[in-house]
Amino acid sequence: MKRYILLFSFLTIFIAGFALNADSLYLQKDYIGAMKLYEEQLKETPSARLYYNLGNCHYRLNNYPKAVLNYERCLKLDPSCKDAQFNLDLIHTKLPDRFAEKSEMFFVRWYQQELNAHSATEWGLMALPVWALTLVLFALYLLLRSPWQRRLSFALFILSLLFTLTLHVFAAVRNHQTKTEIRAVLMQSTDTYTQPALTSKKDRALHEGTAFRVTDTYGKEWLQAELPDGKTVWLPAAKAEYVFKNGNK
Amino acid sequence: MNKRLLALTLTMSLACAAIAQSFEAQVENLGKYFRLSFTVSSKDAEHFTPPSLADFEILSGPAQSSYSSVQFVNGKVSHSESLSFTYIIRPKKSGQITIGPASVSVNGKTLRSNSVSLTATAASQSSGGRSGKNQGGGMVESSGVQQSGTPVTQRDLFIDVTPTRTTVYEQEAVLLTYRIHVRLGVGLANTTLTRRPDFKNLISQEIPIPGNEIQMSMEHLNGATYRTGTILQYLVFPQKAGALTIPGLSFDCTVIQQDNSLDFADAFFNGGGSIGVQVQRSVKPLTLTVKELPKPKPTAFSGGVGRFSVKGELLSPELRTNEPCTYRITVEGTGNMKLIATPSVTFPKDFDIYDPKTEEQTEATSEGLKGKLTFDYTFVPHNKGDYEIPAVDFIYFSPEENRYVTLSTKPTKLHVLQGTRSAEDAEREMELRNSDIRPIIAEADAQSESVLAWGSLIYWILNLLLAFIAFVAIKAVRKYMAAEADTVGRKRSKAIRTARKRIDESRKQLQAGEAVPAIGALRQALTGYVADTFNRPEAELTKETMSELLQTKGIAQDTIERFAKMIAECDFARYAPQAQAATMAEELFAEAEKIMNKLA
Repeated sequence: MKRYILLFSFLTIFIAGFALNADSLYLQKDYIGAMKLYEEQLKETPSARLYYNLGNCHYRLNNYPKAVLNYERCLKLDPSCKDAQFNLDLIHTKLPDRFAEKSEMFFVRWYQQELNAHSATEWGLMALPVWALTLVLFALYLLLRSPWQRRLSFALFILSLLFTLTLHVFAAVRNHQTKTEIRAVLMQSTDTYTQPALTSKKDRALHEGTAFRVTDTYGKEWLQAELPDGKTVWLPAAKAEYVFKNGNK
Repeated sequence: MNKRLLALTLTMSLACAAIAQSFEAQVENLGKYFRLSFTVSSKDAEHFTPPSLADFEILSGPAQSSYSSVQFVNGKVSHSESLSFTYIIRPKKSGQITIGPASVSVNGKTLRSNSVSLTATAASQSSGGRSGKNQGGGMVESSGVQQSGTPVTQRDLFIDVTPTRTTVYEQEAVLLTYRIHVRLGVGLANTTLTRRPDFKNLISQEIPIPGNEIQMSMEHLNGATYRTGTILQYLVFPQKAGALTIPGLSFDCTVIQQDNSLDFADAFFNGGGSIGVQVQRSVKPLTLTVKELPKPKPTAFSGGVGRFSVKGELLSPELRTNEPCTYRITVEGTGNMKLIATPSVTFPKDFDIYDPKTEEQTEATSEGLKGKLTFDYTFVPHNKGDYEIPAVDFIYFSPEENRYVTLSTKPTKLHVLQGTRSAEDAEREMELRNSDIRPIIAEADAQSESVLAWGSLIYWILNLLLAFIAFVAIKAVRKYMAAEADTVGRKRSKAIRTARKRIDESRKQLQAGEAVPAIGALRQALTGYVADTFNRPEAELTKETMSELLQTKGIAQDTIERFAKMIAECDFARYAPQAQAATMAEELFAEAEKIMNKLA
């Protein structure tokens, strides 16, 4: 028995050591080596953490488009990863493309901003204590004797219930957004067009590293991009790489 | 046993002594050199004295080697051993040369070798003669490797350095090419620098050989054929005027030689019989004449020496308030790229300026470092309007034209539009730009996708669980409350009976003669009735509060008054003397009965 335990622990340490290797290679500044190992590991078990680390490798190797692609992949798997979001924001300042804010009504924009401030899971976690409060208020309404106490607890119960439902709606919307949104990152600079044809009128030029939502495709060669400023343009599909095809993991 | 061993040893040593010791000299022609060896047939040789070798250049030696073997053949023991002293010599003159005998001492006896003679001709093969053993003609390998023990001379292997120019200006590039020349017949395996060179007053950049393979070409020099190749190149930029010495570099070379004296088996285990010999070669130092750059040096001189072009451009096409923009100056050309100073750019006053970032992309060529240098100036305008970045001067020195050249970028107009960002946004962006990315997430720190992800089964189960707990809690509380009310209800219905019972008991007390306690008990019974009926603690109940409570129950007003009067009289009677109390008691009890009936 002891022998097996020894063998097992040896194997675990060996495997762990191997898995640890990519991290230690990165820390030793062997970014190419770390990158290769992360890519291998990702083939076996994709995870948000591995995508994030791979993104860091690409950043260190000054390959911004690939870094952006991997951070986006990380966020797709774990929308609450704050590190990946920070790094994306940082890379943004180094990319040439700039977009105006979406021109919408201020309350629409405010709503979008609030919604996007937290991931679906975060909204869900916020909903739990509010739901508990709702239940407590309901109990009070049922159990209290005095009429004014009952009226008060009923009113508060209704409010709390609405609040809970709002949080759930936010979570659902966010969940739907991140699950169905298909995003892609430009790997090369390109011209954009108003129609999916090279002969159509050209729109602004975009540079590598810009990420966008894919709203439509035309054959295998064209895709329609919704840019951060809300405008949609067509561009050659070959110039971009999908974060995840089919919108799913 | 011991005696036999002793006898054997004695016999053997005598036999050794009896064997005649020999001391032989022989010479072998190796083409350009000769191998001269003296062999004595005993390992116990001392005081070896060579003959005069004045006519020769001793290239190596004396090398000592020994040999011994014991053999049993046909029951006979044969034992042989020898000791050799070997020289490699080169004749200083041509013609017949005789080498005298050497001497050595064995077991106290001095032995002398034979003399040998050889014929030396300039660049020819001549056979060395010797009485007795004859090695025949010498061998010169036209290709292949030398015999081990052959020295490697300057003519066999040398390294030289060639500069592209010997007279240059300060900061002007000079390419040093180090070439190795290997004569045919010498097997060069490897060349490395002995130590890193210390180029004083020079900035140097090593240009590595592509693929680490030295390309060899054939050439004829001084009547011999050589293989030549470039082993190293250095691009150097003199930093001081005057006579500058480029130190002679030293290289360690490995030459492969064949050791044919090893028998097959030994050779097999010793790498085919080839051995690597370490030879060191130095290059002569070089002097460069460095001219000073002409004075007066322009104040805005960038330090660049060579040939350049410059251009300035705005990286961001649209300029808005509080949005960071970058102005890039690109210097392209050949020269001392790495030493060019950052040009100074004057920005409009109310712009925020950040430290310029420099990036270079150059490759080393024989004329210097060729490529481009970019200087990125990041700035943030705060107010809308029209501004201008004035022309930026770039002054460099051209050795070709022998003068300072001033180039200017075109002035750049800035049209700043009103942006939607605030100054804080701009600050935040600049902060981000100057930050580093967050570190990698170690496996241990990885947060697995939250188990409580919204929409997951566990999440909904948790919500239902909370509701279930609430449901159960409400039920429990309800039950408790009902039970409580029940107790209260029961107490209430029992209130009359309890009161009556108490009154009866207190009557007994009265009959027993205790009037005052009886009255006290009576009062308590009445109070208790109210307490039970209205579920109040007795302590709270005063005459007034009891009256109020009874009113709420709808008891007739006069009954209440009588009740209150009773309580007051009970209180009064408590402090009355015994006799009076007794009489009062009777009345009180009677009244109590009536009230009870009215209350029930």
